[in-house]
This record gives sequence, structure tokens and C-alpha cells, in this order.
Amino acid sequence: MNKYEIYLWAHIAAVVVWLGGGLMLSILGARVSRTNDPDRAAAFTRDVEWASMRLLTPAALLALVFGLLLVQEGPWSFDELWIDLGLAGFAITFVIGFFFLGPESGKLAKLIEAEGAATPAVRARIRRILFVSRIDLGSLYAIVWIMAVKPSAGDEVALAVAAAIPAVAAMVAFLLYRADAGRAAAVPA
Amino acid sequence: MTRYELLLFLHIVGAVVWVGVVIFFQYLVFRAERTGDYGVLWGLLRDIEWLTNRLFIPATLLVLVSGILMVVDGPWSFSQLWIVIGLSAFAVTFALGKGVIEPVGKKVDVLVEEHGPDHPATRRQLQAMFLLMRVDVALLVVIVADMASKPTADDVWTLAVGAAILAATAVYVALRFRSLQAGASEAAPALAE
Repeated sequence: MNKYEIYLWAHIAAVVVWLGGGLMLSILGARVSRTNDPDRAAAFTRDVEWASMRLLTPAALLALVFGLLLVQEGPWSFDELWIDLGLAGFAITFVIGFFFLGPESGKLAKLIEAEGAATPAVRARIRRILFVSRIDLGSLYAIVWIMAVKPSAGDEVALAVAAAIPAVAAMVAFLLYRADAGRAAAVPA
Repeated sequence: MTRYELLLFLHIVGAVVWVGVVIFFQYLVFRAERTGDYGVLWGLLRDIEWLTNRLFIPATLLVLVSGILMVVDGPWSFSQLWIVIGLSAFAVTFALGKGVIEPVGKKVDVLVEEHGPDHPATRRQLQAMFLLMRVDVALLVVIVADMASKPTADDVWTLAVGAAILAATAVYVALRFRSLQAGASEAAPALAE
């Protein structure tokens, strides 16, 4: 087992934890918002904040660090389009996480503490967080696509698929957001 | 973009969904165990049961089918050691899930219905189930390491690390099971009273 293989394993393991965890949170979030159970919503929000800080953010940073080490150690260069796209995608998802998902989860936790989890304001905030996190998840799966296919500038189909993945994720997120908002409107406050 | 690259993407996505969700689930279980809230643990079990048919089984099949097609399409053969290890571990984790974890989960369902999630017997069964899931997590981690490093019979260190991870997990689970059984025999007379 050489150094490159160790980096590759660590890179893949970090990606698995990061994306799998993100997906699990997204699915559980949808389930929790459908139950309209305020205690479960409060517990879930605490889990999100806790897991983001202790598991998902470290996993994302490890994926980045081992990815950079793989470029340095392996037959790759930072001039290659797929590596630039991967790094740009990472930057976008990091900005979304750092400037929106993290602060919003914190505000939501405070709001639940102050008003309880059953208020329309809390439900609306949960829906907004789920909406953005689903688009974020789509961007992450687009990065996986880019890492697996390693497209150059001439691979139009592969690049089109990479653009289509977050677009489809945004469409699905929007439809789920509307469905959730419709369900919430039907539930008496 | 080649067919092999497309299969590789599907294989990775399947693995991310399967392994990532299982690891993250264990993380939530670990957190709930520390708080000692068996109602939350029972809720997590219901979530994982809900996810099994909707997410895990499709993801597992995606990993298996795309992996087999990659061997057929790529420069690999089914006689290579790392592929044999991967397929064997896959068979073990599938058998563990279907043959052991699923029946224990059903027992938990019955116990919760009869006594609720906070009853000592339900607690023990829940703990036993989450312990068995940890064996599954260790197997999945070893499979990911095996796929990334692709060891041959000469890579003694790589094979030893994989074996050590499984051995350490087996010892941990055996010790925890013993303490669970000890707790059960201590609690039995009290429950009889």
C-alpha cells in the first residue's frame, strides 16, 4: 500500500461520510417536517447543529486536504479542468454551508428554544434550510460526477451532465419545498 | 466520457449512499446512547427500518451491479484478490443484515409494542441491534479500504490492517455483548419479583 492509495482511501472515506451524512440529514429532515412533531423537530435541529460541527465539516475539510495531497502525489496537475471544477464546487458548497446553513441552523435552534418547535416561523425556517441543503447536496453529487469522469474541455456531454445534476436537484428541492409549504398551510397553527 | 466512467460514478454514488448513511446513522445512535434516551433510539430504529427498502437495498444493488459491470468492462478479473475480498465481505454484510439484524429489529418492534422503549428487555435488544450494526460498519469500512488500495496477496501490511480492523471490532462487540448478558442475568430476578 503506497502513500497515494492511503490518501485515496482517506479522500473516499471522508467523501462517503460527508455526502452520506448530508443525505441522511436531508431525508430525516423531510421525515421530521412531515410528522409535525415539535419535540422531534427540536431534537433533529440539535442533531444537525451537533453533526455539522463535529462530523460533516471535519469530513469536508479532510476530503479537501486529501484531494490536494492526491494531486501532489499522483499524476495530476492543478491546471486540469476537472480539478479546477472540483475545487470551485467545493468552494461554492463551503460558502453555502458556512454563510447560510450553519448560521441558519443556529438561529433555528434559538428560535425553537424561545418559541417552541410548532410555530409557523420555525416550520418556515426548517423548510428554507431543507430547500438550500438539497441544492447543496445536488452540487456535491455533481462534484462526485466530475471526480469520477474527470472531464476535459472537449467532453461536452460530461460537462452538461455535471451542470444538469444541481439543476435537477434545484427543481426537486423547489417541488418538495412547495409540497411541504402546502402541507404546513393545511395544518392548523 | 466512457461507459466505465459512468459505471464508476454509479458505483461511488451507491457506496456514498449506503456506507455514508450507515456511518452517519451510527453517529446519531452514539449520540442518543450517551443521553440514555431510548425513545430517541427507538425513533432512530424506525427511521432506519423506513430507509431499508427505500434507500439501502436499491443502493446496495446499485453498488453490486455497477461493480460487477466494471470488472467486466475494465482491466480487472474476478480472480483478483481485492475483488474476491470485496465480494465476500459484501456477501457477509448482506447475510448479516438479512439473517441477523433484521430479525433482531423485528424482536425490538414486538418488545416496544408489549413493554415500550424504556423497558430493560427492550433496551438490551436495542443495544444488541446497534452493536450488530457496528460490525456491519466495520465491514463496510474494510470494503472501502479494499476497493481503494486493491491489495494483492503480497500486500501483507494492507491485508493485516483490514484484518486488524475486523478483529478489533469483533473483540469490542463480544465484550459489549458479555456486559449486556451480565446485565440481563442481574435484572432477571428483579423483573421476576
